[in-house]
Amino acid sequence: MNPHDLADFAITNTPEGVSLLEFKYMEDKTDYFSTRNKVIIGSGKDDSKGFGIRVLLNGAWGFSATDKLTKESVSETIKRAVKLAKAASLCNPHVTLTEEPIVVDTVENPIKIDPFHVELEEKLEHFVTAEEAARVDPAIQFTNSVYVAAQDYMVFYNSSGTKIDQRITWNGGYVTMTASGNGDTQTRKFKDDMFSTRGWESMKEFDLVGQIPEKAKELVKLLEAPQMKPGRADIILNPSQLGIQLHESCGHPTELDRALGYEAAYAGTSFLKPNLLKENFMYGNEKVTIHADATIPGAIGTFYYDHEGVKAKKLELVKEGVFNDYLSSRETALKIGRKDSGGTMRSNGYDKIPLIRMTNIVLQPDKTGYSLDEMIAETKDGYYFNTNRSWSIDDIRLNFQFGCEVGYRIEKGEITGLVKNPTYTGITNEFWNSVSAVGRPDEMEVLGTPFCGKGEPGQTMYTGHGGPPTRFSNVQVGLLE
Amino acid sequence: MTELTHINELLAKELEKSNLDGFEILTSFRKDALTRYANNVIHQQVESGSTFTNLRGYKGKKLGTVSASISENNISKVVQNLVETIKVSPEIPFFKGLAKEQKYQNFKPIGENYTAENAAEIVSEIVNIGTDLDPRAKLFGKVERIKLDYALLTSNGLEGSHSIRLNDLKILSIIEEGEKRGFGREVAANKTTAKPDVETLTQSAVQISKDTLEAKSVDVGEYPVVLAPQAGAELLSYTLFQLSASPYHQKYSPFSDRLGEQVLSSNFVLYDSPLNPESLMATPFDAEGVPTKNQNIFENGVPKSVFYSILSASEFLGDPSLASGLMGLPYSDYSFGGSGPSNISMKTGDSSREEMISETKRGLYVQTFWYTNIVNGPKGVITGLTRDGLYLIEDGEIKHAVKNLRFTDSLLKFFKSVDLISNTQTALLDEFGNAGNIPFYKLENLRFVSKSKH
Ligand SMILES: [Zn+2]
Repeated sequence: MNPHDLADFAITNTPEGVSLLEFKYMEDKTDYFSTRNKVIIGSGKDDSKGFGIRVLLNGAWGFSATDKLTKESVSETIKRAVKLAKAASLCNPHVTLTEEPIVVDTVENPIKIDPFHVELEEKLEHFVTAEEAARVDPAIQFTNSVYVAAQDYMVFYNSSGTKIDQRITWNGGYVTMTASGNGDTQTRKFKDDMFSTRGWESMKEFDLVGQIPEKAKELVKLLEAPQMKPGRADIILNPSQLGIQLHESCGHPTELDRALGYEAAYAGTSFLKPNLLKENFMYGNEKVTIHADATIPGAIGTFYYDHEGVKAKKLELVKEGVFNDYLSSRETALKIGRKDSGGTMRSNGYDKIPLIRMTNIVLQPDKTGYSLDEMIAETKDGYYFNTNRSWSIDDIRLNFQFGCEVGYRIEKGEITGLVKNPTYTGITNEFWNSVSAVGRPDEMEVLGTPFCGKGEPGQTMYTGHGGPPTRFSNVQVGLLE
Repeated sequence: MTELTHINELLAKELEKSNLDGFEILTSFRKDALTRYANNVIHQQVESGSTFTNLRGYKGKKLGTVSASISENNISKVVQNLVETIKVSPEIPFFKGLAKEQKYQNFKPIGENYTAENAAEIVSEIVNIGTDLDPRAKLFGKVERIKLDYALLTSNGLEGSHSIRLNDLKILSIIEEGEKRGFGREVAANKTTAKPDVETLTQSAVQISKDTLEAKSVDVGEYPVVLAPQAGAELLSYTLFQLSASPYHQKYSPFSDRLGEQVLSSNFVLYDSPLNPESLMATPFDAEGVPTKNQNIFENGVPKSVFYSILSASEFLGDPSLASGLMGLPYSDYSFGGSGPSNISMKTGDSSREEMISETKRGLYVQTFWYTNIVNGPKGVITGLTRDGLYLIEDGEIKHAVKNLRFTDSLLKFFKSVDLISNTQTALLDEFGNAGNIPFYKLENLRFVSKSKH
């Protein structure tokens, strides 16, 4: 049955006493493959479809989902959701929601080349030729590649009158090279975090084959490079490492559900307690302005409407260093005095409830700031770090430690060599208060990951992050020996 | 279950018409039900029921995989999708077919799930007990009910069906006073609807949160550590990852080329028991139709096996029959379908939590580790943080709670000195949903490198 008809049927049959009923049909498809040494070692197609119904009854939520697409099944699912909400009333959360505009819209992100219509052969060719080009030295014994294309089609109706039909397509992929020698093994991903809500054109436009040999040569040199020495130094992060730093130390702690304790027993809480909003807490110094922007064309965390039917927004999480806003939802926004939801609720499938998810977390560039070269030229004793390898942060998102694939030693304003196994560690707000230079708009990149995990039952989501090259001063680097 | 075998038969009938050389069907019905509570109220009450099929088929050396929502209405569409996938797939030179005829050691699955009402009652009890103990306490956690029925059918004549039922309980108590926050956690997983010992678990969680509210900072450095089962499980999970075929063969594992060598402590014994019906994720066959077996993964500190799927066994060993039978069943969206043990146990010793503490001059007691990650694969260096319960032990006694610390250390070092192991095991699910029976154990030293603020 047509999902719009099922949706109509569900809304018409909203039971007495239910203050909000949401019907969400989702049809998700994924095409993927992976290779090792130019040979395909895994490929497939995933397709799932069904609907979920969420009800708010006497202030308690109930959610039930099924893959049976009939009117009878809609009635059954409403009944089960109501039953669950009634059971929840034993410890009633007394939920209230923001008032939101009623929306009737059909939207789809623009793509030039539909990745689902590109032959597997062409996609494989793209990566296999890059793997071939990466074989610059016998020390490189393994090359792997991964490619994913996905599409979420959603029909969302609620009992207030909102009717949304939204299709979001995204894709991305990369090559990993592994080199062994000199008693060591090192790896390098390229190009890392390259996922976008664009079509196959995003992959074609990027000269992977042309750029990979240089990264491969560097990887081989890394085997002979010195181990990074522990100490304190200035560090410059490239956009992808800056992205993961933002993701872990700004994106997750500004999720309001986390700050309010909804994720406490699993992902944890947040050092950004709601009272800090009123207190003008200095998250970073005045150079730090961070947006959560769901409207950046082509970025991986971009959409039109969230899964509560709220229009995508640009939120100013940190404004010139001051903690300014959270990622929020209809339920949580009221608790920090917002009148409207931040529009960040997304779910990864018909059978999951929406959760507050990052959109695109972006450090705003400095128009009159530094180029990367200028930043390096001004650094006396430091490092330039590229590409995340290891990430870890505590349950309130303060103590972090990151490892990168490659570090460039900077001495007296010049890159003087490579260091292997670079790591750095710090405390979130101290770190963001140590920013000494933010790069210019022309060197910024918004990248992202489709693998951000959250919630119970677990959900993964495609989220964006990035910014320009950025320098931090006096950071603890290296592992103590 | 009859519905699943019926769908498998319809799929098989359709597949037989398609002129493939072979196929494998795994159809499952999964019901995820979860009651989640925070700040003493139930904020999430969800359930879903869905039928999926995972199909693989091949023609010559061309292999295709599709997984899809399935019902009687889309059988031919899903099969057609598979056939088209195979057509456009390149040949896999090392491919030598899927699971061959084998016998499964079938057993009757055991397990039963709580109802949503049971779950709400358990939450209500936790909240009442917790707030009675300390009115400042706020309780958080979940009561999850996992139900997975699955049926297998292959062109090589393999046929089987089984089911998994389990309940997972988590209790976190938070006490807040001004700027200070105390956190305490307990977990328990089981297969029956026998009521968990909510009272003892809640008492412990609340007590830990009272203690950690007053946590003091200690210096970083090396400490002997006594690990509660949740903490111990985390270190074991990250050790086991490194026996996956890819890192092992790509020389990115600390165990690469060291199979059969004694690399860890001689009392370090890990075994997988999928054929023990009591195991939380017990199953007679894996997601590829390979029979499971009870086996030692580490024997007296010696890694005994690498985890191979049919494909990776073909690729790296040239023999698909050497697949380990460890391919993950689709019990959760969150499992990425890798090959690895999901019913792991650490062999017990003859000690106890109390004895481990009393024999420690100065050390730390860790309730839970969090956000562990690999820092340097070949060297076995991993990092992670403590959470929801960390204590200083001095002169054989717990002295006081400690603010959370980060460890960064090589498992080749810290698992070389497993001092003591308790004579009891706790059943739990790890962060990735794999089941474990984990004792308390003590490591001679673990290196802590930095502090957090709470
Ligand atoms: Zn994330």
